[in-house]
Amino acid sequence: MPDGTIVGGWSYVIAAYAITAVGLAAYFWSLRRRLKQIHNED
Amino acid sequence: MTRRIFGVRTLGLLGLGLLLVGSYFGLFVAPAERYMGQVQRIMYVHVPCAWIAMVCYTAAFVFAVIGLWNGKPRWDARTTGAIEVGAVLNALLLVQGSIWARATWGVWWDWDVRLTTSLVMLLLFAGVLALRSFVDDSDRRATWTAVATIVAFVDVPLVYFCVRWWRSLHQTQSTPETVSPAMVLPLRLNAIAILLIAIWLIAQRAKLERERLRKEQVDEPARVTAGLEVTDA
Amino acid sequence: MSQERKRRRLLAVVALLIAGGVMAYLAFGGIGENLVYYWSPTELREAGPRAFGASVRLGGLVEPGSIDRQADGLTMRFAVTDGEASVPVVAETVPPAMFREGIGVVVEGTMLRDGHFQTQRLMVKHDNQYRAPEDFKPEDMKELMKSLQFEETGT
Repeated sequence: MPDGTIVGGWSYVIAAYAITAVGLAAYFWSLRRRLKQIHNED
Repeated sequence: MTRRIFGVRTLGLLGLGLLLVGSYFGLFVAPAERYMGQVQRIMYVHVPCAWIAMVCYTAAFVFAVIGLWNGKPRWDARTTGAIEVGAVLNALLLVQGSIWARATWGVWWDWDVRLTTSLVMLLLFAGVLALRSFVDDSDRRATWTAVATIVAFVDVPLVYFCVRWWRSLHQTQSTPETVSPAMVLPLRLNAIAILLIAIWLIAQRAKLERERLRKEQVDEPARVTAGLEVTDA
Repeated sequence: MSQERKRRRLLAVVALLIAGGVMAYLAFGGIGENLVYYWSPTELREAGPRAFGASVRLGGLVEPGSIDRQADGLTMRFAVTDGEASVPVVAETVPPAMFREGIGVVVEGTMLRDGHFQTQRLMVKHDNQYRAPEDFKPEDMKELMKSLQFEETGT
């Protein structure tokens, strides 16, 4: 395709997978932190 | 107790491993789509996230009904876990979808019925979690969380069926007949993987909620009502 | 406690009834007619003068052989068809790579009095088919219209 089109390629794929991985990891980490916190308060 | 948690963790680790295998197949083995090219590979995370987010919300709905019926706090904890994990997948789903949409449809977002109901789904369940955090009394909190969950759930079948009922930009559901066989495998692997991971996360989140409840009742023993079971299981 | 238990169970029933009622209304209440995401070329033609000036969405297939990219690289002309009527479109926007003859599109803009639909927002609507490059399957317009759900009129 020449100029003047929106071309989707690997960069879009990498972005989507990276955001998914980071999102899941961040949620897991937040769970761990909250569990640890509640155990430390005891 | 240790053994039980270990069991769920094994499930979660299995899910993580499967996610790596599925994504490997999706990224490097499956063919690029004939018109979309490489960007179609977003499907292998987008569709599983969508499916499992809806599974989480459905589980939350079932847990809410059970909890409202028998009043046992462990169902409130499970409801909360299922909602929170569902919302995380829901948020990821919207971002992945937006990236995919930009590359194929040409826009990051449009107020099409599928996109709108998916966003509403996230806002509704985030609202349930917010409502929850405002209620101090644990019995009331469980009751209102359950009622709000049942009402919010209305949007979930809507997200699924809207593309069949109304005109939309988003395409209708694919079936194994409309998807090349080489693309079905990574799709299924990642769906099972995310399901296992979700079960693991829900169990962890429910455990956290039970611990919180236990602490609340230690701090304020006056609030402990007769018949309220505090179990570690 | 049993009072409390009764109240909770009553709440469960009421919440389920409300949820079920709303779902049933959405499924069978026929609000589809009021929820038109885009107009087909036939509907736009039938609307006649009512279509002028208002911001609407037009959905259909890009008519084969109608794409004309202007030299300025920004303006593009093509026709949107539903197999019966056809509407010429002037688009001043960058299309995605998926844009081609015979693909589904939804364009947002206004119908001009000279009979053109002017748009600055072009969206490609693809169907639910995902194929490897090798499993080629010939496409015919009727099938395409069906797979894209451009034919249904709202239930």
